[in-house]
This record gives sequence, C-alpha cells and structure tokens, in this order.
Amino acid sequence: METRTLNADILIIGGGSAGCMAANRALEINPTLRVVIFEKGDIKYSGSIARGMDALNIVAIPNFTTPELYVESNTLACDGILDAPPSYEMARRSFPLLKKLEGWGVYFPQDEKGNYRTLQYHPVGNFLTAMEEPDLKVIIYQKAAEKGSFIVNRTMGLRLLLDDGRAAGAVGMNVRTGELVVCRAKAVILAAGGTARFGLPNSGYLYGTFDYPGNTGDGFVMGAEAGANLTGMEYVRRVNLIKDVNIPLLAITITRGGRMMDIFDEIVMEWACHDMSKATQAFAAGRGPLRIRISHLPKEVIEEIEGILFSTERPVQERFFKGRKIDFRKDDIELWPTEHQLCGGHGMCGLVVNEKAETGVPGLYAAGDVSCVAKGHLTGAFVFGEIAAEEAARFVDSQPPPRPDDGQVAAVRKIMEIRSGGGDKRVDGRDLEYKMRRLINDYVVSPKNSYKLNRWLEWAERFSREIDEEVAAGNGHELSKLFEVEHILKCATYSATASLERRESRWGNAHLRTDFLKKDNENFLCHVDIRCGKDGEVKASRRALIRDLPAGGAQ
Amino acid sequence: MRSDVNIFIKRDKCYVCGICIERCIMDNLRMYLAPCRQACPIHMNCQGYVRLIAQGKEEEGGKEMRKDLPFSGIVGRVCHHPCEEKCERREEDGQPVHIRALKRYLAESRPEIALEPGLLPRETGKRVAIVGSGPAGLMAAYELAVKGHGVTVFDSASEPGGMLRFGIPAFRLPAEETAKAVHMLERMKVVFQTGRALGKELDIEKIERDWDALLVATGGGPALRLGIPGEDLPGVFQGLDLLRRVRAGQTPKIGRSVLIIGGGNTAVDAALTCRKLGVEEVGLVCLEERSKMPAFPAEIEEALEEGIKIHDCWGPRRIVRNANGTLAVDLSRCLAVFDEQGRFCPSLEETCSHSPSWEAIVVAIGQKPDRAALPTEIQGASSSGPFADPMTLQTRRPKIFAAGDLVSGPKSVIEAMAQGREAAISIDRFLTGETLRWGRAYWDGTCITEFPIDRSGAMIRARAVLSRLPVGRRDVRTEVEKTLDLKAAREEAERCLNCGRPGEFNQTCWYCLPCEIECPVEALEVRIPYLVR
Repeated sequence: METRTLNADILIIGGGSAGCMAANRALEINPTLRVVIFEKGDIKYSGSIARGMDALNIVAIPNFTTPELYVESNTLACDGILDAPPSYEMARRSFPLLKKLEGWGVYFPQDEKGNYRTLQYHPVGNFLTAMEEPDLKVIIYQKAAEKGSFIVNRTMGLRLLLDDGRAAGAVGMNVRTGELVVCRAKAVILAAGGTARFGLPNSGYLYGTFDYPGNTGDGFVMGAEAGANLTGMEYVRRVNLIKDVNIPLLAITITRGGRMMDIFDEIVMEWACHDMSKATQAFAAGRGPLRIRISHLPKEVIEEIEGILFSTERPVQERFFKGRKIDFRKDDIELWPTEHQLCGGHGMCGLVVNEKAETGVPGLYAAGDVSCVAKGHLTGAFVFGEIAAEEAARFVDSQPPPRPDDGQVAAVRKIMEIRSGGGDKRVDGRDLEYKMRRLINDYVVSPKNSYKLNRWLEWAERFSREIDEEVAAGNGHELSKLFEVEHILKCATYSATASLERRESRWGNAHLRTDFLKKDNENFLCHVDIRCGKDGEVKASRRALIRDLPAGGAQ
Repeated sequence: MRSDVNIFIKRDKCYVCGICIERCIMDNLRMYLAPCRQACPIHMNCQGYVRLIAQGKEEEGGKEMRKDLPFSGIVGRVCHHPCEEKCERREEDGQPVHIRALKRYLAESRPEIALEPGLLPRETGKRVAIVGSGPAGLMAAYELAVKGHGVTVFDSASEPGGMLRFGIPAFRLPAEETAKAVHMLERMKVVFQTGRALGKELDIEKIERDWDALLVATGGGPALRLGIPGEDLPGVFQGLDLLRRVRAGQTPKIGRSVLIIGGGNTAVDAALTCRKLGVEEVGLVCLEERSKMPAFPAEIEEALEEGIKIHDCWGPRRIVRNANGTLAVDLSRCLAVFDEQGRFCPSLEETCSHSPSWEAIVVAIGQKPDRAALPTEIQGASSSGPFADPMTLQTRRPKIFAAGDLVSGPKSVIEAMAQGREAAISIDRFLTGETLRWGRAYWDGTCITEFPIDRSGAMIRARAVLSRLPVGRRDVRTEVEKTLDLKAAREEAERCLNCGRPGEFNQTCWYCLPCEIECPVEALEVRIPYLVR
C-alpha cells in the first residue's frame, strides 16, 4: 500500500468552521506559509455547519453587552466550572468577527435603527445574534481555498507525529482507498470537532445524530495521545429536539412565542429557552413526549418560522414534516431527547487550551468543538480558529523543520495491517458500532454511578480487542470506520474515567450521579482533567479554575 | 444494488457527472460505473454525453465530453472504441451504441466547446520537455500545462502530430484536426519546436540537465524488416514510410498493382491508401487468419469494401525481380503464428506454393521501438525493472519518463493518450515533490464495477449507419466518413441503456443536502433514511 507524503508549515486537522477560519487567517498573516488541511469528508460543505446557521451564538455588541458580562453569564451557565481568560478573549473578539463575516457577505439582519437582532440564550445578557446565511460554510471554505490552502479531502487524522515531545505533523488515512497520508509540519492545529457520534440515537440509525456524524472524537484522541490534557469529559450532553430526526428548533420557535407543552397540555416553556431544567424534569417524570405548539401564533410569524427552519440550518426538515403530515398551523411538533454527545462548543468537553489556543504540547493548538472554551459554539470555533492560526504562524517563524521519525508512521501502518488483515473476522463493523453505542447509552451517560462506569471500562477492553480481531474491513471505507469506532470507544473511556473522578452531581443531566446526588462545591468547584500515560493508561486529576479576567480587562 | 430508498435519482435527468459523490460529506455515495466507461482507457464519461445528446442538450454534452478529453475531434474519428465492445446494448440487439460517432458529432457541432483551451493556473516555474508530439505527447502537454508547468514539445518531423499527422491517412483524419489540437495547446502556452530529432539536434543528456523533467514519447519506432532476400529491391516500399510520404504530399509512383505484406493497421491503411491513389489491383497477405488479424475490424471491413483482396495465412520467403520489372513474391503457407509459449514465431511450410507478381510491394509488419538515443542504462528492461515503470511510467533515471507506443509497442491513439495522461500525473508529482505511486488506481474507491443492468427500458431501434463517400468517389485526401446529423445523433443516443448511476452504497447519509444542491440538473432527491422518517 502506498503512502502519500506532504510537508507543511501548519497542518490543520479538520476543515470545518474552525479549520477553514484558521487556514484563512494563517494565510492572511503570511501568504507564503504552506498550510495543509486534512479533511475527512469534502471540505466545501463538511462539518457541523454543512450549510448555514441561523445565529452567531455569542456576540458582545459594543454599547449593548460586554465581554465581562458574557464571562459572568457563562460562568452561571457552566455552574462555575469555567476558566475566564479563553471565554473573555472569545467574547472580546466576537464583534470584530461579526464585522469580518459581514465584510465577506454574511447577512446579519438589523432593525430600522441599525441594531442587530439579538435573543437571550444565556442566563443573563442577549448575546445570540441573528444571522441568515445558508451558504456560510461555502463562504468560509472559499476564503480558505482562494488564499492557497492545500486541501486533502477524504483524509482522516489518526495520530499526531511528535519530535522530542513537540508536535511535528500527523499520520492520516484516505477513507476511500485506505492509503496512508503523512504530513510533516512545524505546527499543528486540531480542529476536528467533538464526538457527535457518541451515544446511539433513539431511531437506531447510526448516522441520525443532531450534530455532524463525521465527528468521532478524532481530535480528542489524537491530542490526548500526544500528551495534551482533556477536560470536562464528564459533561455528557443531550438536548431536546424534534423527535427521531434530531433537528433543532427550540430557539427559533420559543423566542417567537411558541410554547412547549407536556402530555397534560401544561405549558413547560414559553418565550425564554436558556433554562432547560423544566423540560428535562418533565421528560424524567414521564410527561413526555413534549410538544412545540405554534398554531396559536399569527400567520406571518408561522411563515417566518417556516422560512428559517426550511432554509438555513437543516432545510431537509420540510420533507420530514411533510412525510409525517405535520402542518404547523394545525399540528404540534414532537420533541424527544437526542443522543448524547461530547462537545466543547455545545458543551464543556475538550482539549485544554488557554486564551492563545495553546494545548501545552509545543506546536500543538486546538480550536472549535475539539477544545474546551466552554459552550463557545460557533463563535468559539471562528474566534479560536483565528487565534490558533495567529499563534501557530508566529510559532513556525522560529522553528526548524521537524525531523522525520518513520517509527511512528510504521506503528500506524502496523495497526492498519492488523485491521485490514484476514483471519477469522466475521463481525460486521456496523453491528459493533451499534452495540458499543448502545452500551454507552447504558453505562456512560446520566444517571451515572460507579457500578455502571466501571462496567463500561470492562466493555471497553472487550471492544478494543474485537476491533482488531473480529471485524472484517473489506475496503478503505470500512477500515476508516474501525478507526472511528476506536476513537468513540476511547472518548467513552475518557468520559467514564472523568465521571468516576467527579464524585458529585452538577449540570443537571449532563453529570448526574445517583451515588453522589449533591453538588459539592467544597471539593469539586474545579476542572476534572484526563491525561493519557505513555502506557495508554487513562488518568483523571483535578485542576483549579482560573477565575480572574486578564489584567487590564477590555483593551 | 442499494438505491433510491434514501437517495433517489431521476434517471432521465442524471448524466452521471459524479458531483454528488464528490460533495457528500459522509462518503455515502458510490458510482455504479457503466461498462463503456470501465472499458475506455481514459475512462471518459461516455454514458454522460450520450445521455445529454438524447436529452437534446448538446451544449452540456459537449462540456461533459470536454471535461475528460481536449481532443475529441481526433478521437471521435479514429478511436477503436473499446467502449463499444463492452456496450451493454450488445446484449440487447447485438449492435452497440455508436459512441465514437456521437463523440465526433459533439466535436463537430460544438467546436468552440470541444476545443476550449484548459484553464491555466498560476505558473509553477517548472519546465518540462516532451519529445514526440503524437497522441501521448499532446495529451501529456495538455495535462502538464493545466497544472501550470511550462511545456515545450519537440518533434523530428516538419509539423507536430506524430502518427496523427504522418501515419493515419488523411481520409481518416484530416490534417486540420491535428492542427486544431496543436493550436489549442499553443493558446495554452505550449511551445512546439519541429525539426528536432533525438540523437541529432536533441541531446538527451543536455535536456535532462537543462529541464526539470523530460518525457520521451517518440512512438513505436522504425519499421521492422522482413529479413528476406529482395527486401531492398526498387519497388519495395516500407508501409509507414509510404503513409508518411503521402501525408507530406510526396506520393511515390506505385503502379497498377501492389501487394501489401502485413496484417495490422499500417498494412491495411497502406492498402487503402494505394487503392485511393488509383492502384487497380491491391492485395494483402498476412500470416494470421482473417479473424485474428491485428488490424481493427472496421478497417478490414473498409478494405474489403474497396475491393482489396486479403489472402490470409501466407508468409513471404523471398522477393525476386522479374525480367519485365515486376516483383515476384514467393509465399509459403503459414501453419502457425505463435509458438506454444505464445511468442511470435511463425512457422511456414517448406515449399513455396504461390508466387504472384506485382508492380510494387509494401512491407508493413510492425515496428521496433528505437531507444538508441536514450542513455544506455535505461534503454531496455534490466534486472531492476522494465524500461518504464508500468504504473508511473518513470524510467530508471528519475527525471526521464516515457509514454505511448515507445513503451507499449504500436497500440492505439486512445491508449497512447491514456499513457500520456498517466505520465503527466507522475511528472507533476515529481515536480511538486509528491510520491508517485499513491492513489493511482482509477477507481479511487468510488466506483462499483459489478452490478446488474436493467435493460427493460431499451428502445427498439437499429444502430445508426454513418454515411460515407461512395467507393468510387474516394481519394487519399478527403474524409470518407461523414458525421451524424442532429436527428440521427439523437435517435442513436436514445438507444443508450443508461447503465450507470450513483447509489447510496455506504448508508451513512446525514440528510444534510449538499449532494442535492450541487446536482446541476436537479436529478437527485434526498429522502430521509427510512429508520428516521
């Protein structure tokens, strides 16, 4: 099997929101840089955005909200578990980001007075800013491509290369042909997203997740195995979305007057949707499925809602409702909890980064859902994509090229040979994934307790062996799925290990321990980090919060 | 075949461009590749442009054809159409779709599309020398120019084109077609220098030093000699040389009768050329049985049509000059052409049972690649490998690549072009510092080649017959074959069974819709996966 070898100044793993912004920014700063992007799918539409988003989640608009207010608000939303500096830096750069996107043709609606339309999504402050751009991904991809990024599509990152502890590139594989792709680089930006394909969705369809199912925690695993720390892996998130099809609509409907009803037709939520606890309680008490009702709203508002839902983020839902014979003017929309995910943007999991997107491993940066700038959403991805690029561009200026170490590449090749090799392999890879993700649902997610979490660790060992020994991989595609499944498996182990360490309950359903039901601020008002030892052992530890804003506050 | 539950394809609109497969972010789709495309040496989307003609969309058809091939005017005339040999239509009524003629139809009716120069990117500053401007060299020149490299093409003859200009007869491929292709390349900044022969005006060691890479595509080489007495008598011509002289306007005098010795394309072309020059009696002898002659079947049919007499299973022993100046050829029956190991080793009867006389003889028994002007250590196969690596076409000197008949022996225009393309891919990677060998398999993991084909919708219609000049009106310079007209082309294209299609092979759909949005003809509809909807 042949290997493709590339060289780069900066290697970006993941061509989604963070990755494309990073590529563009790096080449803005220094057009002579050689920037290579590994993209698992096809970069024009890939990633969590695919088409567009109906809002930029966090913008601190001058004379309206401030970065300080955002940090205060998000600290509440994260129940105290937040490092202030990265969130502050993100909020500080959020308005210039909006202006930059506007300059690229992204449409942010304004009222007659020239104010942007904002909604409250956080405990305090209206930071969510309306954005109507179904072609958002295409726009940012074009920026990255026009500036001369070297894009390698259908390439999944498998392992980082290290040169004396410093990030020196990565080994990836072509997900169609199974061929190895090796890129040596002076700096690496991980932007591979979270673990969207984690727990099994209620539909049983492996790819029916609400977030991009191509994200299988590749970046979490690559970073951790290269020596970076993960944090917040015990925060396992699920939300309530349209039942079965797992598409969002809460913010769009509730903030326009829609009502969330339970089976007794009691109103659970109205007007504000930043506090989901009542909805969670209703489901837990068996008063679900909950329903969104908008039939009482004026005709124009219903049409406006249809316009947004059927065009921007997931336009396919129009087909879904038609197929289910649901007319918003007469019928309600059923809600149900989605599958669970691990995500730094939607949630609180990810590689530990400071306000410079540094991971602690020299030359290794992280941005977007793969990093923990807690609940940073799209703003975090865009802003930290740029920050990572700025820092990486500065870093590579002084760096010699990394030294090749074929031992690391050979080690990956060996694993590929084992997994593509013959032998008595009869298990279908899809079945293994189904079973594993079903057991994640059984053992890794809330309600948690030490019995369940330890059962997962036992199952993890078994699945790890089965991936190598029992599943047949007939082509590059099937082989890449084995690696994806391995990454999901490792993320589940990181999560279970972190959950065992956090002996309290916090964040509602994201970390509820039936054996430690109370919140314990005395012992656990801190981060729980995960570290991979050289021997592959996963260890948890606690780390103090950074509460203080950077000296000097606003600049 | 998994299809249409999740991704529904409107078969009457889809022209298998493959964009949906490229854009799917979950790699859900695969292309069930039509047999014609599998058989084509450059894997053209022939199903696509044929279907577009059937839909009345010649403009889109021309563009789809142009995506894969910048030389459709040439290929549409002279290709030996391996696609048609595998056309599924044969299973239906024994008559394949006239894919070659449809290609020519598009080239003729949309010349501005067919000969549109390729888009040039930023210049790389790298310079490639190509020696040989036949089909392999021209295709390589095109592929390297569209990558931004500086290309100069050398040729020993007075005009570029190689066999296209000086081998294939003008009544099959007019000189203007080759000139148009060359002109298109010149508009792409490719430089042509004629009158430069390797080993004379061109020194390969110097080119290797002065250029960043070098492609040698000098063709099948000089003619093979029979090695029999009398071969050098006056009146004995060499097939390739005869064709070249006729194309150069320097026709020699043949006489009233001529015997062609040989069973391949050059022999048949020489026979047809003599016939069109007015030679009354044209005969052809070959070692092989009629059905096993190496010449393309269509060309043999044409020869018979023009009254050329083919005498198969004969081998020449000697040529003798008669008192009246004619030449007698002693022929023995050929018992076998190949030995038990399949090597070319004709075995003739001892006696000469036939000795016809002719005013002229043309010997056209093959070519021998001439690598004498190449550095000695790479001239042939060695213990470390063949002359040119079969996958990358690189020789044992890393900067030197080879393509076309020089590598494979005399084959066909389209196979030479396919090699030219592969050599260009290798050279581009060599120049950009990439490894040569990854991802070279055409299928790149996206094609399914074995699948059931549905013939139930087949239109009942006979294959179109191309109109050709009546035998009596043919001459050496005028094209014999005419192109299809619009009505005939559409009716012929409607015979296509539309075998290939995209399909939801991997069941990883996230119903995000880029495939649907990117389809240029709205032929794809995403249906939410069954488990979810």
